[in-house]
Amino acid sequence: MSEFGFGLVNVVMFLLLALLFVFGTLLFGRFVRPRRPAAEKNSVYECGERPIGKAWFNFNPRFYIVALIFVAFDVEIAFTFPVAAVFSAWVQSGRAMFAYAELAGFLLILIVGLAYVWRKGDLDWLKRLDHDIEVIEAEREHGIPADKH
Amino acid sequence: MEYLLTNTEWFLNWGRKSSIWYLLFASACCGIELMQAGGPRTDLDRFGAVPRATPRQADLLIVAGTITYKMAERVRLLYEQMAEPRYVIAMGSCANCGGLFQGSYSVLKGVDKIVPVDIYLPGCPPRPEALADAILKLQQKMSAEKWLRNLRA
Amino acid sequence: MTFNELSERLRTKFGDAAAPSAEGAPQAVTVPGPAIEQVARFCKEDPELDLNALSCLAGVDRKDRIELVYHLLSYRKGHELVLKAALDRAKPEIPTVESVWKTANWHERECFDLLGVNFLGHSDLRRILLPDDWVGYPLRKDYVAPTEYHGMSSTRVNPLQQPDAPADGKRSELKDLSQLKSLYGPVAGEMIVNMGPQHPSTHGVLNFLLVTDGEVMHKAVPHIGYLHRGMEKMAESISYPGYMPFTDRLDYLAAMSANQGYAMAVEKLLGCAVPPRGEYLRVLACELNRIASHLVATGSMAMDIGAFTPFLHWLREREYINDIMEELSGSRLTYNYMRIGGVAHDLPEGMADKILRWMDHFEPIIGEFDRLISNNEIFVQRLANVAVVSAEDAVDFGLVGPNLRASAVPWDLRRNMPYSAYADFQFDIPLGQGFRGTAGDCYDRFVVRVLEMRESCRILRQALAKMPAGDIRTKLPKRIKVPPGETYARVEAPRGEMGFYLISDGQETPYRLKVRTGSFTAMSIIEKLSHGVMIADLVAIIGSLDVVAPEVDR
Repeated sequence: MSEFGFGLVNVVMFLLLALLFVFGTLLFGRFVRPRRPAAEKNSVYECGERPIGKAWFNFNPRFYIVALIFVAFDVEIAFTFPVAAVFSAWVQSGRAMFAYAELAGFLLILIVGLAYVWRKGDLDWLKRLDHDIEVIEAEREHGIPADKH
Repeated sequence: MEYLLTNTEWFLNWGRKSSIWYLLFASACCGIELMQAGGPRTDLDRFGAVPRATPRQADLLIVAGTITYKMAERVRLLYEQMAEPRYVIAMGSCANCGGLFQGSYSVLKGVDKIVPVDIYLPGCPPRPEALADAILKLQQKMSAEKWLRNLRA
Repeated sequence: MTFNELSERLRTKFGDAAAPSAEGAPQAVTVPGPAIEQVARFCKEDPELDLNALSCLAGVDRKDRIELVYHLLSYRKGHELVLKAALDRAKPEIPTVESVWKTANWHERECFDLLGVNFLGHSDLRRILLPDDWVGYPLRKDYVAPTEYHGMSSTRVNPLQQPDAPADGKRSELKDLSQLKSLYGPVAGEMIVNMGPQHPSTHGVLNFLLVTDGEVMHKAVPHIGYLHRGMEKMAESISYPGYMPFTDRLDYLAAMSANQGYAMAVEKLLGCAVPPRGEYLRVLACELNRIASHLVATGSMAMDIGAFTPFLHWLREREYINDIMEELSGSRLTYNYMRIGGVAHDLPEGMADKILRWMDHFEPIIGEFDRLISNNEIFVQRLANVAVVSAEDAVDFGLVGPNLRASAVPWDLRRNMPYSAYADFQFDIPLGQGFRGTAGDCYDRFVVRVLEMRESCRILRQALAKMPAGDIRTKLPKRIKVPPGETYARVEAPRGEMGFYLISDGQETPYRLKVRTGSFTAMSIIEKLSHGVMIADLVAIIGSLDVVAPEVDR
């Protein structure tokens, strides 16, 4: 058997053993543990009190916005990895500036996007509209206490 | 087959009793002694007992402190939300029988009116060493349980 | 100002409507019920009277009437006044004084809950300590306790008296949990989460209903009463010396102070003095207890913020104090050390040296704690500028103790109204000054407690050095009949002023005992502080106010 083949079997056996550890113990537990579902046991835990209202309701969209921004920039990072992998090959073939310019252009477009998002306040967890900020500054000048908001 | 079952059961019981995770539930003064029992001198962690904040991950409910009627239903709900196998230690006089507050209008006279108790631990409050002793007795009780054989039968 | 001057001033303003009470000491001004709000407002706003704090609002069932007793205190002038109002027992009604002192909100709710007094104009009059579906008013003299509640019976078979009765505790009493309902109905658009009775960060069984929008809260509504054990009602059926162990459980972390407060109240009525050595031993016990209590307070505050290590270090130090207390009084936590007339046991042989050696070990450790956590940048960022309580708010909401001093109000009963042997000692009163943020924020409350530990060590050293010889307690008969009268005794417990309002009618048991605790009023300010604050900050707020459940609920 070739070197490669032996290494492959090694990895496969290792994976199998890991899976066996995890799922074997879970399977063993499934037969050995008591299983007595009850109405109160399946109820929602909220520090000993009954929960109020439903868990499915309208969440504030800022969760969505933060997740969206994260996905966009995470994909950007994911796309820079292949460039990093082949960059040294491009340098050796003499087209370093071309590769660099491509990457820089890609990143620049996204940095402009980041700057826009930052300035707009989409990265703040507690977002205030520009109008609100002006009102607050004006009130602070006139001595209205901040906790009136 | 019997031999295999007994030894597996011994092994599983050993695993269970050496890692009794208790629910962090401190109602009154006994709660402070429970805290001190988890502290450096009487270390419950050496028995494998660590505090968990949620009943879903807890094996043991140590009812530490006076339970009033207002609290009783919540204690029962917490007990119901624990997964089997679950145990209860009634720590202190108030949990055993109402304790000092027998004459009170709003105190539940003993937590065994609402949950089944495995170990009664007297004291007001019991010393942390007494609580450690209660956990050891619970370990003895656990290691004597023949649940696997009953499962088969 | 003396009582005569105060009552004279009230009489010139209100005429005969505010007359000194006809019954004997302590002196009180009787006010007709409907006029209470104007009189109260005058008491607070008049620059001469300046009674800016409502210490205690007690309701008493006097069988032919219900009497409300308002204990007022002036933090700036240092004088106090008692107002009384008599209400018709069949239909007890009185205007609220909530608009004068905000702390009256919770005090009046408690009075309504336990006595059934209707406060006209109260913004939110509902039960606070007992469950919402409780029937009856326990503190009334003709109250009969129910035999069962939601299926749980109120009696227990005593196996010694009835050996043939079937064993109790068959778990048959609570059939199901259908009677356990949510505390509120759902509200559209908001998420309501229970930070409930079983929670690692609420200090005991307290419930907060968080109305939140994600991580930021609109408000946090506290619900208390999960540990209401009816201490005040039980005092009416237990003899004076026999009630001492109950006072331990009023605040188990500050049991010595509670003991002392109760003993002082009874001693005032008996007219009995404590021998000097007894007073010094009391101070010794109380200051050791103060250190132990602040260890738990600061340690659990650190733990709530997330730092687990300092808490364990502090528990280790607390064990040493527990050992000392055990040698002194016999118990680690609920000491029952003081007696009416003095203390129970004298210092054992070699105890003074032991305490001194322990202090030599402990004082550098406070410095170690500072290096470990107090200047940790994350810790400071979590606490500084969070929940700033202004001095005015602190007084209005009835905060006492380190919470009050952290808001820069220089009031400490040991200094301003010295009791026991505190006048003999030199010590400073640490005040909040915005150590890393603003005066009155959570960090100040933390630092004030750490500094108070140092001051307690100073007092301990002085007490041990100057300890007089002699008796430790006045000889009193085993069964005490206290002459009729009433009194209000205050002590500076680790959580602030603990006041015992004691009424005696000449019997062997008290007629009425009302305990005013610091944590009860500290809980009442949490709702105000919680607007627009994150849930994690709420945890810091609760920790910094050092609330313990038995003080809140009694």
